[in-house]
Amino acid sequence: MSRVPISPFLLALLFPGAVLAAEKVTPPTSLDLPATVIFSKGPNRFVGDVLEITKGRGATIGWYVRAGKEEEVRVSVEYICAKPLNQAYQLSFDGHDRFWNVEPTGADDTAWTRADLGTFRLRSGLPVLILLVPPTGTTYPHPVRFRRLIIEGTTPGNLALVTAPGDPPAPDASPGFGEKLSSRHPALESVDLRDESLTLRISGMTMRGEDELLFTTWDGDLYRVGLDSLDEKSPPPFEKIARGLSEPMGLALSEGRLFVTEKNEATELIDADGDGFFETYRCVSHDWPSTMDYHEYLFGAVIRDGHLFLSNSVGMAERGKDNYQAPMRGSVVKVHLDTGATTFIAGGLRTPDGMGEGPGGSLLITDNQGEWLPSNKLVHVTEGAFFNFRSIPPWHPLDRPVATPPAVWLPQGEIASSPTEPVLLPDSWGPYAGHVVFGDVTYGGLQRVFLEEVRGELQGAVFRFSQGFRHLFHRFAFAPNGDLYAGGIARGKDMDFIHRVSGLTRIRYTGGTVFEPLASRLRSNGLEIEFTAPLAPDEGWNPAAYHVAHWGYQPTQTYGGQKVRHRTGGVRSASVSADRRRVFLELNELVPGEVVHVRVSPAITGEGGKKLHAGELWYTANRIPEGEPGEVLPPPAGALSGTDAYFQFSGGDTGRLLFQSYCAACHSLDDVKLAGPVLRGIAGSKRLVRDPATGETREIEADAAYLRQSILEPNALLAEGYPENLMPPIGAILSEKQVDELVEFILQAGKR
Amino acid sequence: MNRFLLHLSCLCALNALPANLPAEEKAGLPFDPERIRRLSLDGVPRSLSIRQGESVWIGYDLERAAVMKIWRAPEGKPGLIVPDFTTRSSGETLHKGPAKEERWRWSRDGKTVEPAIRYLGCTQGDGHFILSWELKDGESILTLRERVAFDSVEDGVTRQLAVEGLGEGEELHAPGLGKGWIPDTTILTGAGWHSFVLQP
Repeated sequence: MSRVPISPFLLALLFPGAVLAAEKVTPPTSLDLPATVIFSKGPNRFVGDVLEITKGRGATIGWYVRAGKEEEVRVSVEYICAKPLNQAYQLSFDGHDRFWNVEPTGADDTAWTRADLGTFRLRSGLPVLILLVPPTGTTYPHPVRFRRLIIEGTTPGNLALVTAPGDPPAPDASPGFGEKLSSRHPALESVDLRDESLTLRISGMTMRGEDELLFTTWDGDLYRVGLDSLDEKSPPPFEKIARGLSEPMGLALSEGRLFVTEKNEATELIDADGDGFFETYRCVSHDWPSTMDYHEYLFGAVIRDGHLFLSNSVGMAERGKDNYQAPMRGSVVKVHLDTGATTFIAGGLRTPDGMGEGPGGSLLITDNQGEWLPSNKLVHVTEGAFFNFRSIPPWHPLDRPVATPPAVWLPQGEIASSPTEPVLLPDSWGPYAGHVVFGDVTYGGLQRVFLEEVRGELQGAVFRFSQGFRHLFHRFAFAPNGDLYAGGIARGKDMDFIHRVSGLTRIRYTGGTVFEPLASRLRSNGLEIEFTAPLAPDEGWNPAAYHVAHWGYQPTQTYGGQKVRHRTGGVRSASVSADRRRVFLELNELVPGEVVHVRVSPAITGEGGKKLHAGELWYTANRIPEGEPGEVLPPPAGALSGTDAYFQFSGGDTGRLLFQSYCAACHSLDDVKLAGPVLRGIAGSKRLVRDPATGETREIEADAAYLRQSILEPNALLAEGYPENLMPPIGAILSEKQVDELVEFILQAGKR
Repeated sequence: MNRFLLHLSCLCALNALPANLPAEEKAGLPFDPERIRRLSLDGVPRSLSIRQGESVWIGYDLERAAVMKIWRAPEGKPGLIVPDFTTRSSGETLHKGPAKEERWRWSRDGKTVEPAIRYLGCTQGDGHFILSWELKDGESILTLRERVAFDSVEDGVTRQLAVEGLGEGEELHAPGLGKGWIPDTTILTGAGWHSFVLQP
């Protein structure tokens, strides 16, 4: 008997639901992402289902998408834009950038236009973040009306919109454990070397000989002080030995020759007749363009192999208007000391306010969070590196689609806010020798970095190290005996604040043993943590004693950025070495390029019951070792039997944590004046504000709406006495819910 | 509070302020900001200002090796306003520098070229500053110096220029000299100092 095929038509008659079901199982190959499902809109507004974008600063429009399997996709947007824009939008697709010059379409509702933004490779597995980023710093009188973004693939049902993952719950915090340290490291002593009659904003520092410390000030002076003359009881005998320098930001000595990086030139100070005066300011090089932008500095400086190394920051004042940068800004510059021959060895820096030598002769630079930097970072300078800060069109010859990753991310507000000079700790610093510390002119204190080489690249972890200093450290120099001289600085108009946090501190390592995580090394299957001292017997084996989180960053042209794919990571096992100084954490996952954040429970004790000074590290896993697994050991009997919880999760603490991460560096809730207005008593108070658009000053009531606006649009109404652009638009990196929680916290805490 | 106590408390408060008094400073320390300001002048990034006599300032565009402006400070006022690490001239303009298209020209071998200019630095000597530049055409290099005396040399605003490296028969033409200056030539030859006085 021949078999007659059953036609779909007949099937439909027999089983009407079957056809419908068959249609349902043929899912689309494309994905429509309406504007209404973005997770952050910044200061812009919806009109129905359409997002009207007029304000670039603080606006980040994004979706998380997951692909079942890797495939090539085409991305387009539907929009209306009545008039030309002077800058391009950025499409950031999982860290790959495309710039979109928005063509005018006409103004009315018939003008909806679809613009093709190109093809991208969509990887499978973890969600991918797609961001549409307006030009930063610009407010347009006419909106770009945005309706949806379309991703077209070829595989049915491969693409799915993923709800934006919120931050995972974090354990309750205390100083050193999820919170900034509140005191000086127990193995450090410090002396504030202060002459109250002077405000010394220290901008460069070096030793000349064994006993003479030289430092420059932002105000343009060069001082010397004999270290033997410091007696801690009387003001230090600072002696001004040069003046009239132009915003010096780096000082270096080589074979008796003294070099300064000034605002617009690298300068050698020459005392030809040996009378102690520098009568010649020789311009060694100024072979790069400069403008009048206040933010163009030359930071440095390091001398090696007969060359001066410095970095030149980008401009900020004009950038928002047209995205212009003078060519070659943001470079690492190499200048021959004698001939002035100048080469540009790396690019893509923003505010590289600190350069120093690291382990193995490496050259390190810190860079400050902002546009193109979703967080602060420590970079390892290599020839040809490009560190991601861009303008449009690409203006730096080293600019390229995939940037050089930082050696270590320094998460904003958690461990750094405005990092400064990195300095290599000498042998006299005991277990910390070979590590790098850096200062921070907002976050304060000293943070410590341990670097290792993985598959030919430097990467590593940053650790909390010390707070408890009066000065905000900017520059450093080591005396031959290992004493660290640290110079503080501050910017702004508040001279009381500047006077308080600027100046010279001597920091001495006393040699005491402090129980804390010392180093961290990546393995193929997890992370090893080395401690400064042995753990207590049977301590450290319980994986529950380590809270691990993972996240990445995705740089954009708007200010700052959020953590991408922020999630809690599982610890499969914890293995303690025979000497009990090292714990290997076997992790469920490691993703190249992501940060692995580990909180060690404060309940972990060292030998003799020692408590941890701090228990936190952030490891940047750019490269994952191949074939180098950590050893997984069976726990000794009873080692996992503890019943007490290692972490508490009280919840409801989001507002306070957000305040600490994003606000506390500049706004106090007591009466301590910092860079921004004091928030004590702000709730319901009357405040004088200035509208920069009109120049008018008026009194307003500081209520939730005012705080909300200040977070989303810091430049809309300025607290009287504070300039534009002082406060970053952190609203760009907060969800609506987070903004609500932050406002509520400030209102409640500000009542006190 | 009576007036005396109020006055006293104000005085105490003033004394408590962190006045930026000079630390111990060697007498005769060069580069006195009252005499020279190496901060950008009037919106030109690489520029500086030198005071001549009591009240005249000469502003230089260092990238062009040219005078930007010469001006006299208002009576009893400094003549330079210093906002946020920049400077602004204030007072009566005595001379405007050359237009941007006016450049140094080097005549030699029957040709005239516009050499590339590179600022070399500033030296304080006895009673004067010397600014130096390199003027380069291919492999050929001149060194241009401008000496600015603290005091006017010939009872007027005075510039002194010298150039090293000019060959026989070669001339260097200075932008911004000539009309208004005595002598009214723009040509520099030889290696000695050439003095120019601004016509009153």
